[in-house]
Amino acid sequence: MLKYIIRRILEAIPTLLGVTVISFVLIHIVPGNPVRILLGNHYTLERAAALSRSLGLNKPLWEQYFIWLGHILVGNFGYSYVYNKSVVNMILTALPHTLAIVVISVMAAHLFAIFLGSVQAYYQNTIFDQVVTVINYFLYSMPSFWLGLLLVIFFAIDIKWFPSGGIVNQNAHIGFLNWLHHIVLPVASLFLISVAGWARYMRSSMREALLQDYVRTARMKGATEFRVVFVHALRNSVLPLITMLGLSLPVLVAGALFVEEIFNYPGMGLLYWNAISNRDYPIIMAVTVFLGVVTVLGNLLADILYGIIDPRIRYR
Amino acid sequence: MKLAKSGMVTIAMAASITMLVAGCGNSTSNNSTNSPGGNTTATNTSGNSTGSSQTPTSGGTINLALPPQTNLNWFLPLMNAASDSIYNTQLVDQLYKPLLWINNDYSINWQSSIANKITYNSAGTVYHVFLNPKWTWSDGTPVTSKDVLFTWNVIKAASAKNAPSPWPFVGAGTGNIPDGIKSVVATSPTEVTITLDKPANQQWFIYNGIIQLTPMPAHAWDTKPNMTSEIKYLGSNATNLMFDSVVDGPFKPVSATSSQSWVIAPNPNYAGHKSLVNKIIFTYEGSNASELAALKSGALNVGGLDQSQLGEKSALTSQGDKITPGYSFGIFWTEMNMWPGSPTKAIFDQAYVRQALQMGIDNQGAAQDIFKGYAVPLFGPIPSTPKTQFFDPNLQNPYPFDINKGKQLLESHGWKDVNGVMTKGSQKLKFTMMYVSGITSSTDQAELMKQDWAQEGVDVTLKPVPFSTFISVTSNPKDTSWGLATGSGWDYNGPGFYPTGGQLFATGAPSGTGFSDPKEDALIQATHVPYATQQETMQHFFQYEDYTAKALPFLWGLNVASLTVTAPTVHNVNKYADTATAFPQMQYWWVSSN
Repeated sequence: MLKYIIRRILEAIPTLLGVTVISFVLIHIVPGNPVRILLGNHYTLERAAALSRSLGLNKPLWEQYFIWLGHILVGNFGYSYVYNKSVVNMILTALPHTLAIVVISVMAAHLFAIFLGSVQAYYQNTIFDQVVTVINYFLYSMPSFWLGLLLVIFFAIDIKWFPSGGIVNQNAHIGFLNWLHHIVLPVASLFLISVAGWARYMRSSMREALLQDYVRTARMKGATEFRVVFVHALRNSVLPLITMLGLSLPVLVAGALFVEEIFNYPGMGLLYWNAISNRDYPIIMAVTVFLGVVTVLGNLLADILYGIIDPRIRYR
Repeated sequence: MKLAKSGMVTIAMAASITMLVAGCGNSTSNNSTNSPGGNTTATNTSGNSTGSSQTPTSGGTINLALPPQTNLNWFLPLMNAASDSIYNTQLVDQLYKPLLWINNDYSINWQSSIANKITYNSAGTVYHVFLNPKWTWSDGTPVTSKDVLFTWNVIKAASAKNAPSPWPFVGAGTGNIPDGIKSVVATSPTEVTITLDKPANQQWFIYNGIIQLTPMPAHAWDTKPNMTSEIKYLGSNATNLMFDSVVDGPFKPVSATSSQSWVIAPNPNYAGHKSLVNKIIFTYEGSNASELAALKSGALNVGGLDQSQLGEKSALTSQGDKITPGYSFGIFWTEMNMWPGSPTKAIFDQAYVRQALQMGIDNQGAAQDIFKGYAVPLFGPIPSTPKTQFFDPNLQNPYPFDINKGKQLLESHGWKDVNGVMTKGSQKLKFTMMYVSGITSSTDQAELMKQDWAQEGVDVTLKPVPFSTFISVTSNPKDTSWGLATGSGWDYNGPGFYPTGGQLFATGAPSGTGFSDPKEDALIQATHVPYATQQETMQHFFQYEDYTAKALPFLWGLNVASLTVTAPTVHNVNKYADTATAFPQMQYWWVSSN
């Protein structure tokens, strides 16, 4: 198992390098010169040349890339052009915020989707199943930013139960409850959109499982319906969802971008969004590398979890 | 001076249209008198103003929205070019009193300035800056000429081309700073004498040069053995709000969190009008939508409303909010690519072509239809609103909207309408016009221009681009991919405040687009030389202004208002917004319980 994990990580290195090369080239060829953006109307050729020199942007692109690569290999992701702050510190400040809403929403969505999908499969083709399916399709097709706005309009503006954005109320005692109060709507946005897709997968997976011989055997042995569904069938039907959990991590981190922007939530999404707007290359590249690593680890995690749940799978 | 984007939300501060005045605060006027010996003295008179009928009460919090995706990232009075934004300055101005505070009419507000008088010789070479002895730092130390001198020494070191990152200082090269200054001497604790290498127009130097010398606390910050170490030390702390532990402004820092909030609270030792609020929170907003939601939910009590959100006006006013337009002292335009090498240069170099294009722009119609009246047409380098001494009252719009007249002008110079496009030999009035994408009003404006110009025989292909691309492309003299570009402008609000057009309209101007006219250069230069009287100074200024208005280095557009939303419990925001500069006097804002 350990050998397998190490091999997978080593195999991921060329992939990650490829990602960094493509990203580096792409962000540099996209129109919008960071020097011009930073200088605004203070732009002069002399100032631009000086700033380009100090940021290292006057060198050929390939050279810039290798300098950057050399730095990140020793853990130096540089300084933000806009904030003059260490990129690593900025990411370490933003990451916990994103992880909080992503982890909470993923866990909650997974558990709820497993339950909902299982119940739907058990009561397939009933009114209940059809109503839930319609709602799921509706949520699944809804853009996260739009759902976020709807939640803001209803819960923050109309009934004023939750704040419309931010992470802390400066007028309140700053504490856990204050923070929790602020993350309810962002988490709800991610939860609702995630649960819709996963419940659909779970439903079809559970439907297949319920038709298997071992389920029929369990019933013949006199197992309760609850035990049949949530013990015997669940273990096999949950496999696709486990795979999706790993694969959806990077998507969720990136998807949090829109939600964070709507709710002014100071996580990785907002950091990335602002960096792209300002062509803040060091942050863009650092977040890209981070997402690449999360994707690789997500895949690896999915494979490992798959093996834990399905003893037929062996790692070589 | 700050580049501005037409239609872009500026900070949620707007000048009150009806400057209601009341028992709190003073309005000041600026008088210049000639004194014996060829010296001119600028002093002030103060008068009581009238305003809110309510008695200010203490307490409450101002939750103020920053424009979408605006982070504050620099907290020293001296800034580098990349950090010199309106919004950083807005916060810093609450912590550090500028040497000279500019009023909404661009006169000097001596009540709110560290200096209380400036005298100068008739040659415009020697200036005596007198500091008001009332000012003190928050630790009780008086603000003295030593602090101004410290600022000057930092400016000198930080202006060097090889100054360590994050310098150089943004003001280098503006208003004779630092190279045109022979010496800065502390004549007494409350007097600084500045001597120039060459004569300069006194008003020009005051507004562009002296204004940059915001005193910094020498006793707290001047701790390093040499200036190189000093500017490194200051530069490394520039992004840390809490570094500003010794201040002389009405507020002191409380906390700062990127992409969240920046909090300031009243400075109890402030020597001027003390703030009554508990704190002011500058709040980060991710988008116009989130800002609007926060305003509606009451999470913000001061914010901005984007022009595209005017449909939401009633939702805000129904809950008692007030929406007030405010105008910056700036100009907005359509640029013409006149850079050498541009295929459009030969066409735009013809004054009559520029005139015909200007006649084809319906600024009045756009102000009414697109901006619902919250915009004022421009017809020269100085806006008529806000009202300042720099706007020539005799200047009339030289090229009012008249499509037929524009077409006739072109035809009188040999252009012929061929399949709807004006043609002369191999030349065609067929251009690509960039505009800033993502803003409904910008798109509408560009479409309107395209339609009107089409009737003149000018064929325009619209090209929407993000603002960052827009400024990158238009500032590149080698980029010939565009002919026209609409959606940018210029605010006369720092580091220089004197609104001559050297950086915009002179030959080779860094923020120009290739326009070159020897007479324009001469008239700009004439605004920089000293004159015996203020009247003479203004006479030359108006000559420059009138000629520029007619010469059309850019096609004049609209000064679009920023719309400020204030909750009914927040008072004095609009009265002390100073939207002309965009630097409000927040110490006068207060919050009532209902």
